[in-house]
Amino acid sequence: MKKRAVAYILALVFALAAVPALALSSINSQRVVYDDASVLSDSLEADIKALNEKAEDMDVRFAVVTRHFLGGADAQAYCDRLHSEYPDNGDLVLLLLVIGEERYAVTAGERVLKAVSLEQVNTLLSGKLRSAYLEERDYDGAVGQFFLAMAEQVARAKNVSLRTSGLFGTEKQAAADEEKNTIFDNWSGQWWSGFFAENVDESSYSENSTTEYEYYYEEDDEGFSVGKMIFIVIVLMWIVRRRAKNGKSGLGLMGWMVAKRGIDEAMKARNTNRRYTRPRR
Amino acid sequence: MQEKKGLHPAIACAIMVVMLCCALLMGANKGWTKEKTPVDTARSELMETVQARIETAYNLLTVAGRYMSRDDALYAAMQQDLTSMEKGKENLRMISMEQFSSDAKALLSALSARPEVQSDSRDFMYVSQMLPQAVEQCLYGTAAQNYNAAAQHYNDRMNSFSGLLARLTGVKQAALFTEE
Repeated sequence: MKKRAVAYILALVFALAAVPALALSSINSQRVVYDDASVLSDSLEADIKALNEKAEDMDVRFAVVTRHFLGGADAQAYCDRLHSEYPDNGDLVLLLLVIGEERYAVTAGERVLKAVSLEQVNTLLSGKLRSAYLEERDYDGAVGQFFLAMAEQVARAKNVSLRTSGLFGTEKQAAADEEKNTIFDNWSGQWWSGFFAENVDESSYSENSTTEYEYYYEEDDEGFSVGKMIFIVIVLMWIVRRRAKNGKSGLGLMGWMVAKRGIDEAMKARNTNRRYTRPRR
Repeated sequence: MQEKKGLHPAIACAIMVVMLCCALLMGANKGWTKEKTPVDTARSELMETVQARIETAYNLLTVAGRYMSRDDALYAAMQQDLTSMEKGKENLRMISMEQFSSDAKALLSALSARPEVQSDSRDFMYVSQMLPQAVEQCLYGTAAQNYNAAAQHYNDRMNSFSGLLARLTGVKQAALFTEE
């Protein structure tokens, strides 16, 4: 009877001792915020999830953990340990904020470190996180700015386009930019911007590409706009007039081909700045 | 036909005695090592409490370090408590709960009274709510008493023949937890 009681007590003690280990091993790879210090907002979690979705193709994802204190433990070692507890952590950038100790640490997975060096990570921490975290105590802002900068750094390294407008409070900025662009468009003539308007369809990316990074673009098939027609008519009239001056009549087959080719090239040159690159899967 | 010569009875007897002694020693060692399991369990519980005190001391010093000089008497006292606790963790000699409690509370009340702490909502929350609670939690508990009771019981039972044999094989008595 006594032995059984001792056995029960032992089992209970071992179960209690296992609680911290369980707390670590129960980390859910889908969860991106562990806010033990309760300093982050709910919208931040939604934004991190949205960023992770956008950055999925770049093989990078983000998560943040907050604690009040670490009781003398080394922040970087603690962050490394938490990072190792995440399943499939090669693409994970884990940010640890120790609020009461005013310390922070970042651990990046080995696949992320192939694109971004530790020096670059430290530079981003100093430039984007440190001031907002320590001086302004804008924890949401600090995390958001750092993650955005980190995602953009990875995107640049992998030559991938990443659209992050609207994330982490950049909505207002994006709206302001939009307003500026609208004013500019109205001033410079709406029809002209419509002329170059096009949509890029990401789904047209070739999965069978043999190069590591594939450039692609695709014009949408919206037919001729009024702007396009006016432009082409002007170009063709100019060619016809030149030919008429030289004693020739009409545009001729070659003229048509050259005009079409020239317009196509002009369109491509305009599109260069909007090319997308994506890593081969 | 030559008769097969057997082992001399004296040698056989000696071997038997040696084997018997070995068996006794091994049995005593195994038995008393197993008997020590509850003591080890109580010790690990005690170590968790001690670790909690050490961590609380670190956290107190972290916040205090933002507002106090390291030469400040209250800061220095807590620093000394911390050093003492870290040193005594292995040999189970620790500063008294009362001393740690009074040093921690004095430090916290001094911090709470400072206007610069009061004007900082985060640190004021730490020194007025979170850290006092942490100090209270790591002070109260029966881990030390439980450990000492288990260790004393084990040591008393070891004053027996099998305990003597176990000690011959290197099994040691349990050290008692002491507060200075």
